[in-house]
Amino acid sequence: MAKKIKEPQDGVLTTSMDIKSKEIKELQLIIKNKVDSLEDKQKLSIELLALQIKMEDYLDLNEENTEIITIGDFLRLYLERLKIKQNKLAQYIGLKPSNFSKLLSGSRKVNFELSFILGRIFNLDPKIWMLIQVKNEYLSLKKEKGKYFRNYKLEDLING
Amino acid sequence: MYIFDKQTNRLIEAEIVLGTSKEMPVKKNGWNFTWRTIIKRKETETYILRLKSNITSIQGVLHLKKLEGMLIMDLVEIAPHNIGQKNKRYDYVAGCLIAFACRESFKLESSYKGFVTFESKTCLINWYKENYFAQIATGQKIFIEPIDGEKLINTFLKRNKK
Repeated sequence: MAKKIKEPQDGVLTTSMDIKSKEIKELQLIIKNKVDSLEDKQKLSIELLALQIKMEDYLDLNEENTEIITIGDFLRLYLERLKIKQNKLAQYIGLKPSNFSKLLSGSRKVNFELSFILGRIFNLDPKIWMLIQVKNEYLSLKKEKGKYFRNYKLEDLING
Repeated sequence: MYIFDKQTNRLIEAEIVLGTSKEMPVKKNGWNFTWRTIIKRKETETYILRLKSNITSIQGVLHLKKLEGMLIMDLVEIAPHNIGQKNKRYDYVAGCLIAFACRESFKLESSYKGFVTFESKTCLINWYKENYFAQIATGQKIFIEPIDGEKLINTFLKRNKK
C-alpha cells in the first residue's frame, strides 16, 4: 500500500504515461466502463458543463482571435447536444416558433428576462447570454464602422 | 482564479495560459524538467500557471496530451518554492492545475468527455485520492471522473476572493 503523505516533497507530481504500454488498453477499458455506467442525468450534466465552458472560453477570447459565434449558434448547440426540439423549447419559454427562429438567426436579441430563463434552464449564470450578445455587437460594430469612429477626437471638439 | 500566498495570508490572482518556449522555467532555477524541450513535443499542450500581477512569475506547469480521445495529464510540476508544507510560498497551485486539466477534459469530443487520466508517483496516490477525488484504474494509473472534476473546477478555478 502506498505510504500516506500530506504534501509532495518534490515538485514533480506525475509520471509521464507510456502510451504504448499494455496497461493503457486496460485503462481505456476501465474508463469506457465508467462512461457506460453513467446515468442519463450525469451525461446531461457533463454536456451542460461542456457547453458552459465553451461559452466562457468564447467570452475570454481576445478580440483579434474571435470569430463570431452568435447566441443562435450557442442555442442550436444546446438543442442538438441535449436532443431538444426547437419548438419544444420555444413553447416552454413562451415564445412563438417564429420569434424563436428569429432568435436563432440573430434578428431578435436576447433580453434580460430571457437570459434569466435560459440561465435557469441550462444551469448557467444568466449574465453570460447578455455578455456574449454585447461582445458580438461590439465586434460587429468595430468591424463595420471602426474607421468611421476614428474621426471623433477630443481635440476637434475643443478646438472646433 | 486565485492561489494562496502563505507569506501574506492573502489570495493572489493567477492565470493559466498556454506557455511559449521562451518563458518556460529551466533546470538551473531548481525545476526538474527541461520544459523548453517538453513544450516542443507534438500533439501536446503545455500550460503555465503565473501570477496576473507578474507574468514572469511561474508557479507551476501542466503538460497535457491526448490518446484516442482520452485526455492525459502527462506532466505536472510545481515551482521549487511551492514545495513542502513549511516553506512553500503559494498554496493551491497543484489544485488549480489539476482542476484546469479537468476543465479541458470537458472540451473533448469523445466518449471520454469529462475524464482526466494520469499516472501518479507511487508515493502520491493517496494524496491524489484524498485531495482530488482521484480513483485508481490500474497500477499507478489514475483518473478523475466528471462529477469530481466539476467539484475541483468550482473549488479551484471559481474561488471567490473574500
